[in-house]
Amino acid sequence: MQRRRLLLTLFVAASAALGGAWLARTSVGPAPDPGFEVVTLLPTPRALPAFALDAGATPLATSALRGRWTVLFFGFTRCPDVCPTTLALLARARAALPEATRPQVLFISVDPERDSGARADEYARWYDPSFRGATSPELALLAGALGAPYQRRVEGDGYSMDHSGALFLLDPELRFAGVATPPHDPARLARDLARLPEGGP
Amino acid sequence: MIRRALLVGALSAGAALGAAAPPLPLASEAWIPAAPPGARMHAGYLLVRNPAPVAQRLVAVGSDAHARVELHETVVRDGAMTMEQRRSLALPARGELRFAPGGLHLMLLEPTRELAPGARVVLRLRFADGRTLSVTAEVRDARTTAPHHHGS
Repeated sequence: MQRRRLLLTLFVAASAALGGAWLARTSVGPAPDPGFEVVTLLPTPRALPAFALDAGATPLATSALRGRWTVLFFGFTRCPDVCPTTLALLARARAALPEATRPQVLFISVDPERDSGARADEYARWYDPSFRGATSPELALLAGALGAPYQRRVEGDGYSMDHSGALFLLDPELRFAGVATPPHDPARLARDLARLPEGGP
Repeated sequence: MIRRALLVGALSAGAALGAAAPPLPLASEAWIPAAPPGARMHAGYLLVRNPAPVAQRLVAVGSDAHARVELHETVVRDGAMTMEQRRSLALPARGELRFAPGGLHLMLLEPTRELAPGARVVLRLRFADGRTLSVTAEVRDARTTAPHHHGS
C-alpha cells in the first residue's frame, strides 16, 4: 500500500517533470535551444535536495560533481538489457566528444539491498573508467525530485527492479537542468551534450 | 537436465518428421554484449525468421554457457522500464522475431564461464513442435562498437 503510494508520488513527480519538459518545448517564446535533438532543458534549472553518495573504497563527494555537467542514470547491476545498453551507449557518446565537453557519468543503483556502493562503482567503471557508480541514502528523495520512478517487483524466487530509462542532466551547479528520454541514440546524444552551455543554463 | 530434454526433443521430433514438415526457422545475427566481471546474467539478441507458411512458436532456449535462459521483453509501464517474462513467443508464418536492445531479449542467467569479447556461445532454440535449432552467438564489446543490424 505504502509502496503503491510511493510509486504514485513518483509517477506524479515524473509526469510533472515531463510536463515541464513538454512545456519547455511547446510554450510560446523562444525555446531554451532549438538546436537540441534529444535533450530537453527545463525552462529553469531546479535545485536538488542534498544527497550523499556511497561509492565504496574510492569516495565520491557530491561536491566533486560541481563544475561540469553530470549525466545521471538510475539502474541496478543485475539489469540485463536496459542498464548495459544505456551505459555502453553513454561510453560511446562520451568518447565522441571533445575532452572539454565530456560530462561526468553517474550511475546510481536503485537496488541498494543487493548493490553495495563499491559494486555499483565497479560496474559503472567497467563501461568507462571515468564513470562513477554509487548508492545514495537519499535515493528516494533524489529520484522523487528528478521524477525518476523505480519499484521493486517480485519475480520467481527473487525480484527485479523497474526503473526510469531516462538520462538526467545536472548542471555544473548540481541542479536538475534537463532530461533525455529513451530510446537513446549515441550520436544525437553526443551532439546535444557538446552543445550544453559551459557554465550551466 | 535441460540439455537432455532438448536432445530427447530433437530425436523424437526427428523420428516424427515426414517429408511434409515445414522448413525450420532460421536464426542469425546472434550476439551477447560483454558484461562486467562477476555479472550474474547477460542479454542475448538475435533474429529468428520463419520461412514456412505456417506459424511456429518458440517455447524454450538453452545456452551452453548459462544455467538457464528466459524470454523477456522490456516495456515501459508508468514511466519506468520493466521486464516482462514471456513463456513462449509466436513466430508468424513467413514472419520474424527480432530480439534487440530495449525490446525482446534472451535473459541468460548464471553464466558457467567467463564471456570475454570474441567468445562464442551456442544457443539452442526449441519450438512447440519439438524441433530445435542451434545458433552461435558472438560476445561483443558494445562499449566501443555499436552493435549494428544487417538489413531486416
